[in-house]
Amino acid sequence: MAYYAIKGGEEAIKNSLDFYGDITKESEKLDDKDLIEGLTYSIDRVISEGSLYTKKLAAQAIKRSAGDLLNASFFLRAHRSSCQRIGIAKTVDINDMRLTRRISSAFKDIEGGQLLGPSNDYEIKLLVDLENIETNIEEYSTKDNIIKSAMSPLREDNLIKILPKEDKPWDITRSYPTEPYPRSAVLQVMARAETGSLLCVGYTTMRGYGDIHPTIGDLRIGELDIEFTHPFTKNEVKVGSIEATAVECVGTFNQDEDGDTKLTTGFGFCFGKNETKAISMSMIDLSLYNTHYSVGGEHIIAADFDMIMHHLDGIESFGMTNHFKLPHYVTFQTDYQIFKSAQKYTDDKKEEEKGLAK
Amino acid sequence: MKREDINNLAQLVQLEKLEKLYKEIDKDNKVQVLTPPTEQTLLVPVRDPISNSDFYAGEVLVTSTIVQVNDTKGWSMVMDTNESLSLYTAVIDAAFEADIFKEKIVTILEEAKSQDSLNKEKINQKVNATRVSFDLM
Repeated sequence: MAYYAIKGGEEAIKNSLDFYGDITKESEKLDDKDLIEGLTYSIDRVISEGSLYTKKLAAQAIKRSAGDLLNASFFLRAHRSSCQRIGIAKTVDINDMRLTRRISSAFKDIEGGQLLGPSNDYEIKLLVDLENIETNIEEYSTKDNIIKSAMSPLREDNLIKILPKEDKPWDITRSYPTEPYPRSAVLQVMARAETGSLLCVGYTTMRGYGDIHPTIGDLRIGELDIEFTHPFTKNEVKVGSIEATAVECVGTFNQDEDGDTKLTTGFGFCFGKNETKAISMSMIDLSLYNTHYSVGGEHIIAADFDMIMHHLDGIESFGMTNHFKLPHYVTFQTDYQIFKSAQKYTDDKKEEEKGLAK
Repeated sequence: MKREDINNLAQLVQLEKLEKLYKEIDKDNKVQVLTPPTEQTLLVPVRDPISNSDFYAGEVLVTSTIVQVNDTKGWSMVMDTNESLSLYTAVIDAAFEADIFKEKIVTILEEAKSQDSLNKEKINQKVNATRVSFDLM
């Protein structure tokens, strides 16, 4: 069943668009720079879910959709498909991140220390006027913080379970894989997934359907350099830098391919500052690849590759859900006619049986 | 300064300054735009620490331009949608290679680099002011 092509209604559609423009036009008065700097987390969510790092267009998309962030992500995803892909940047490594925030809830004392960075984690969420707190930071160091993940020492000591290496990453935007899904494709799906969807599935693991209680080994937010090859000198050139969030969560113990018992971990990464998304991704990653200690029954959503690969993309689920608004007259009328015919058949049958009984 | 530094450093300069420099180069030299500023995307591979393999996290929007200043080709790839910035940067890339206004280019870019370092130091101070070691109860 599908929706059917329709025609007509041009004037009503034009008037509807005009009406939409009327109720959203105030957003056009917002300055792009103000949006980028003022609603920085909204911008970051849109570039992450739209899977296109462009803060300028994210600001425009948020204005065009009057603050509907999923709709704004749709604009970016559509724009992405209209651009030529020039190539692949040099691989980025989270250990090279210039940190603005880095915490670990697994280790109290870590190399480089815990950096709270810009966060309102410890603020009481009451909408009262904020106190103007005076701070003096002159005495603090001006040095960059480029610190290895808190999980690195354990990894170097071979205490962490590793998964098989892939020769070449899969690209789901060119072809979508079938089972068994390559790990690179699974991570790509989650990196561009909708935050709420990831959070929902990640939350199921905490409510009794998975590894229950992972610990954040390393959560980091910061800048990563994007490098590409200069076409004339053939040397690496810095194109710019991106903000990103990465999380490594630690689960329990599990056996690796050689039968050795190791600590299990999950990895989360996304564009921009989005801790909730990266934490959720790392927890789902942990569940997918380490089901041994999972509880809550056989069918665990967060450990089901098919479920993860086909249900987390915000643009796809948004599009599919909203397509139900389009005229389905023929589809519904078909169902309705079948229902009416069945009802008539049942009524006739009853009448016939009554007649026979007499 | 190396030619490879230009692409990044030019993006730190105020656009008005770059435009002025571009016009000075354009005035006495033959500037041809071979590929006009074009929006493109770059796929971003990320190293997965668990499998030590790469995966693609998404794409970065860039604006690329190829120009020729007299006989030397120049190129730029700047972040986001930025046509003017990309054009000026490509022209400066070619001019630097062709030894045109090289000293001036270096001065402007070094100034921007210094200012950017100062800005980064201020941010680093803010970050370092949040370093914490919670006490166990």
